[in-house]
Parts: sequence; structure tokens; C-alpha cells
Amino acid sequence: MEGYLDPIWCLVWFIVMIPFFYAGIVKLRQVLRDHPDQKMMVALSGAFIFLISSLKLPSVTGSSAHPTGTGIAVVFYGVGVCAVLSTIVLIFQALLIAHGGFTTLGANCVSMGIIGPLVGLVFWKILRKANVGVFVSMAVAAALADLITYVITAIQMALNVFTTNNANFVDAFVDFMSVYAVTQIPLAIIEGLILGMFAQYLVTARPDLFEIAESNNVNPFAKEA
Amino acid sequence: MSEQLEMDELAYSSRMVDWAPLGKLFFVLCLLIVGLLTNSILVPLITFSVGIALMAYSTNMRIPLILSLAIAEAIVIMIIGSGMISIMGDTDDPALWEGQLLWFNVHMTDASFQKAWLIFFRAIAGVTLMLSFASSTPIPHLAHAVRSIKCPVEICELIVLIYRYSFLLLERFLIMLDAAQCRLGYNGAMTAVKSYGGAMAGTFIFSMELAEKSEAALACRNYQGYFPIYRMPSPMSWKWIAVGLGLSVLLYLIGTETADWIDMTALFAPVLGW
Repeated sequence: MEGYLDPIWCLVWFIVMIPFFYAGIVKLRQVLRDHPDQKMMVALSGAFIFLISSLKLPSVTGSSAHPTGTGIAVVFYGVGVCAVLSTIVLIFQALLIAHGGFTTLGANCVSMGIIGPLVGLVFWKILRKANVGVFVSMAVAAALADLITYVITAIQMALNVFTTNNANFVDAFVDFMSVYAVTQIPLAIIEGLILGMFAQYLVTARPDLFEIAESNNVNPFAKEA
Repeated sequence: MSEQLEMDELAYSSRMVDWAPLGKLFFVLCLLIVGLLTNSILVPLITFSVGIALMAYSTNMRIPLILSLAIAEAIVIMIIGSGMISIMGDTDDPALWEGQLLWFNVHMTDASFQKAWLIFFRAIAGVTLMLSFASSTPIPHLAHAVRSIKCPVEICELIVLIYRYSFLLLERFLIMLDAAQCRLGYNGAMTAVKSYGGAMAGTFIFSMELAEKSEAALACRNYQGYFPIYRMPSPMSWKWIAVGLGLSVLLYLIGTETADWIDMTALFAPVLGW
């Protein structure tokens, strides 16, 4: 939310975000130059993140919360492009549905667009290398991307409280994490299952789409450019 | 997601739609940043009033119900977040309230209580300022504006394409969800998950095919990565910079002078017995 982070933390998270965002632009240019036909697919992946992250799913507590929906984009295009798409989506969310904000954009992008998807991508690659099926691989990747997003958000919030209120960091992290856990753990499982089903249907109907990931050389540890 | 549709309609019918998008963005960012830089509650209250006034002028105070609900939902999140911050005080400081609430160790101090209120007011002010901007600036205008400040063309193009495709996806997705409901697709947890997964895959594939067709259609119309705007908003002038910076400096000075004016602990003391 706008105003939650102190200026110093707004700046720190923006600085953390910038290299990934820059790498994403470079990678995006490379993808669009090598495969101009994929422009619409990239935009659609971004719109898909927006649709999924704006979707309110009921959790077991009876409340509702938001999935992140970055699993598909990161598998197709890698972390850098996912960071760019997430940033655009986060701006839309801030403007159109009053979620997030401009001053917290860096922090939100780091959690939802970079670290969460990076962990999801690593698990996707590991599981696919181990010949695990598309459903399970995508389910695990999407669920972890969602969960890690909120772990990072809890760390960001705890760091902010630690520096502004002089609160105990570990206690603050546990408190924030316990609030998120109530909705996000069931939600991450539901998101994992749904995106697993989604990937399974997609691989059956359009197997060519998953070749995009291979042709884009998506490797979380490789240089983006 | 219907908030998005409402906001789009609101932006195109706004009285501020012809104002410079970059100017409005600069103005809003200036007020957001100055709100963060000062520790006075008065500054977020002033920026909140500015945001409300701009929203009232922009929309003629006809805010759709769905947007009001979105704002209400945001306020609930702010209350929970600020409440969390208020109970995480420095354990070395004397507590206003100490104990156990659910599974939380509560240590509310004067400083953490004041900080929580400050953050709450900053958040409220931020939402009204952002909505005043959003309710008067259609996304294609924003994309055009960021293009004019040399933002990479790929990003500007993606902003417009993602925005357009999100409508496409939303429309198709809602149809698919209705279709799933018609054939008892939400009968049981696993069936519901399968229905959502199927609807998403169907939406994605259908939209992809439509996007491929629209790409061909755009190419036929000599699309070069830019969607023309037929009713161009004004360009940003130096007046926006002067007003934005001037107001920021003024608010900063007000903030430094009035940092201790509003004591929320003292205000709540009679009610809460501190």
C-alpha cells in the first residue's frame, strides 16, 4: 500500500529492482527482435498476470486474497521479462483497483515480479529436468512463486518496522508472516492446482507454446542479455 | 476486475481528461513523496484533501459503487496493516498496551501508535491522490506520455497492449466461468479447481488466437508499435513543475513545523484509558 514504506526503503527496493528491470528490457528487445510474432504473446502473458492477480479467490478462512499469476510468464520468458510485465501490471493495479502504489512499486516488483517468480522458475527447471510431469511442475512452481512473494513481502514489512519502530525483526517477520499465512498458504495451493491444470490443458491443446521457453533459453542463472 | 472497466469509463468522461498526463503524474508523485518525507500527520491530511478535491472535480463526485467498494477494501487492508505496525513497538520503551492478542505479542508504544496513524493517513492520502490521477487519465494517454519522456518503446507498446488484452481476457474469462457454472462446474472443490483451470486455459488459447488475428489486422493497417490518440491531451508545461515543486516545498515546510501538532496518543487517551 502507498505510504507503508519509509522513503529509505522505497529507494532501496527501487535500486534492487532496477538491474532486473533493465535486464528484462534487454531480454524483451532480444525476444521481440528474434521473434516479432511473440509480441502479442508477451502482452497476453502480461494481461494474464493482471487478470489472475486481480482475481479474488476464496480461501479457507472465508476471506479473499489475490494470487500472483506470474508462474506462466516466468516459465515462458524468464525473470527479467517477468519483472517488466509485473511492473506494468503493478502500475495498473495501483491506478485501477487501488492496490499497491507508486512509492511501493519497487518493493512490490521485487517480491511479486523478481524473487517469487525466480524461485518458481528454479523449481520448474529442476522438476522438468527430473522428468516430473507438466501439471506437478507448474503446480509447484506457481505455488512457490506465490508463497515466496508473500515471504519477501513479510521480510520487507518487517525490515521497515525494524528500522522505523525499532521492533525486533524476527518477531515482526513472524507476525507479518502469520497474517499472510492464514490466506496465502491455502491460496498458493489453490493457485498451484489451477495453474497446474492450466498448464496441463495448454500442453495438450497447444504444445508448441512450451517450446517458447526452450527457444527463449529461459535459465534463471544465465545472463539475460 | 469490473473496477477496471468502471475506471476506464470514468477516465474518458473526466473533466480533467485533457490536462497533461505527465503533469498530473508529476504533481501526484510530488505530493506522495513529500507525504513520506515529513513526519507530520497534517501533511497527509492536506494531500488527502487535495486528492478528494481533484477526484470530486474530475468525476463530479459520481464515483461508481464498485470503485467505492474497492476503496473500502483498500481501507480495510490499511487498517489491518497499520494495526499490525502499532502493536510492534520497541520493547525497551514503555508500553501503552502489552499482552497477547490471538497469536501476536502486543507491545504498543507511543511511538509505534503515532507511526501507525501516520502510515494510515499516508496510505489514505495515497489512494485518493492515485485515484484522482487514474480517474482522469486513460491508460493510452499515460502510455503516450511516458513515450514522450523517452521510455523504451517496447514498454510503451506493452502498456497499451496489456491494457487492451486484459479487457479481452476478462470478457472471455467471465463467459467461460458462466459456462462452467451452467454445467455445475463448481460442484465440489476439485471440480471447481478443474473448471477454473479449464476456463483459464480456454481463455488464454482463445485470446491468443484472437491476438494473432489482431496482429495481422494491425499489420494491414501499418501498425508500427504506436496507437494514435485522436483527442490528444495537453503537453506538460513548466507550470506543472512549478506547481508540483512549489506545493511540495510548502508542504515540507508545514510538515517540519507541525510534526508534533497532532498527538494521536493524547487524542485516544480518554477513550482507551492511557
